[in-house]
Amino acid sequence: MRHVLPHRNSSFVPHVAEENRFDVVIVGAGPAGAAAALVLARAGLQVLVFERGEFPGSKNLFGGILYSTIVHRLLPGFWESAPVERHVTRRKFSMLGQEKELAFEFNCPAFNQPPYNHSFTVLRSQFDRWFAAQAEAAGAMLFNETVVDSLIFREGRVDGAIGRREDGEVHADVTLVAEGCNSMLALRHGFRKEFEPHRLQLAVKEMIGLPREVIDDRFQLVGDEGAAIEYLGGDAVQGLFGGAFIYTEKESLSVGVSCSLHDLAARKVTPHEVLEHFKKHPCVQPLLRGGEILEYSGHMIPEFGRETLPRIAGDGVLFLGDSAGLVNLSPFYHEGTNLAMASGVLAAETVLALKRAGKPMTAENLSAYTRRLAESFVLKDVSKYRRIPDFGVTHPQFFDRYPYLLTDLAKDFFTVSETPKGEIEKAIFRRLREEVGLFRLVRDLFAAARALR
Amino acid sequence: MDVQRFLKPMQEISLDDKVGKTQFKIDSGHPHMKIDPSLCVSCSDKPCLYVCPVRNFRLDEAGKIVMSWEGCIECGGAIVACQRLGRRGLTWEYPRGGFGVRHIRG
Repeated sequence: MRHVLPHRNSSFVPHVAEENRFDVVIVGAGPAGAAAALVLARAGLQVLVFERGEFPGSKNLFGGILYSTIVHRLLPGFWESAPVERHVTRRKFSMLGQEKELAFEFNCPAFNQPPYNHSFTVLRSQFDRWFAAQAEAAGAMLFNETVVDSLIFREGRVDGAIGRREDGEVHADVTLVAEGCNSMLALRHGFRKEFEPHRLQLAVKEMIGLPREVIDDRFQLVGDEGAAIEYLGGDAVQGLFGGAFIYTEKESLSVGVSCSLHDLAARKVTPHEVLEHFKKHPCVQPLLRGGEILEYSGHMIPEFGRETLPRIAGDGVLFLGDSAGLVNLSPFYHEGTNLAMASGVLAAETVLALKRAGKPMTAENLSAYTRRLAESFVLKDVSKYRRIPDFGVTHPQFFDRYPYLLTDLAKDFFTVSETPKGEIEKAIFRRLREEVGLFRLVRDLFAAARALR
Repeated sequence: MDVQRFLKPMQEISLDDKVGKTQFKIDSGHPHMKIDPSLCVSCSDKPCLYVCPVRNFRLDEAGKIVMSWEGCIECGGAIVACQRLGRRGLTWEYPRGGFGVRHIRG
């Protein structure tokens, strides 16, 4: 199928005959690209979005929760019409040892009403498709099945992108790159360095089908309530730097593990082996009983910390979402899609402000995007948790040792005997002193607090 | 509903069967990645063997890397592992538009 792009004279750049020109070209129709496209199209700009998948969402995957404050701001009450699965009312944070689990759980039926604490489980292939369709409805032009291999440079500044298709060379005043974690464009054009394996998490997950009633009963959910269980280090990931998760959808569970790419290679263990080990854990296996695998896939998560973030603003170009490394690494939040959408909105607002002021899209003018990110929760949160990837390298004991030890101590505490309780407690403290040392323990806890500060 | 069915452990299936549950649109004759065996043979750690979620990199009987590309889920793990921990024997680009892995759930 051949699409002919409309020609358009832009008032900001001299018209060049016989070229496809838009106000904005966006690479990627995921949450970041679609959010930017929606805001820009609503403001009346000519926006073209390239998407390499058959449709938006077909390449996307997460193990997670869509935190939906931004979607709600863009499309109030979106849950009435959007393909959402469940809203999360029950959250559990867990540590697995050998045949043991130590967890704390927060259950809050008070979240059981609009806006549902802005946390929904979704199937990305369906939700992202719907979200991009909203941008299209607002007037953005979407070209699916088009890979963008390079940006167009004219006189040292980015002037559009080249889609791998007929008539794919599209010029624009500003190009927004929202092509996900791997961001080949950022690498090709020198906006990022090659990744460091300890700053990448490789996540794999199975979608496991179960009847709705079984999920409701097994996870103690009523109506559209949903549960999210996150496992930190320990036997959930065979002691690697990472974690595991179970999220409930209407009629399926997302069950997966996420590990540092460095650790997988160093320990010579495959993500699939780690996932199978997790699923067979005696504290996990009962949650999956009778389930049937519907889909298996994986995705990488950038964990750059702030110091190694790619350059996100250049002459005529901005980087959004995962391509800009905008992920909240906190073990309690794990945010990505919302930061992607927020960055899309802030990039769009930056472009609109420059357009209205009649200013060119230079790196200097576009750096207002970085300032907007820094003033918002996006870079504040990315910054707050930026030390975590290094902490994982310097303090592997939080992943390969302490979860096992803590669950062992819990077992000592709960094992029934006729030993007087005072002696049991003394024995537990003695074991803690012998196996870790109180000085070491206090020092490590301070280090952990600092990494999360 | 047959309650008993949901009290039995999940049936275990092989990785290849699992990958078979995922949809792909195979771009026949157009592999999106290739390896340079002369570099791979000198690679001592061979990190691609461990990081790939679908194990698209395996060893043959002679101990050489054999790569398949059809079941690639395009996570990008192998390329980073090869560049930073291997010998850069792997080259990779996105599959042609519309081809490759096709999540129906995600």
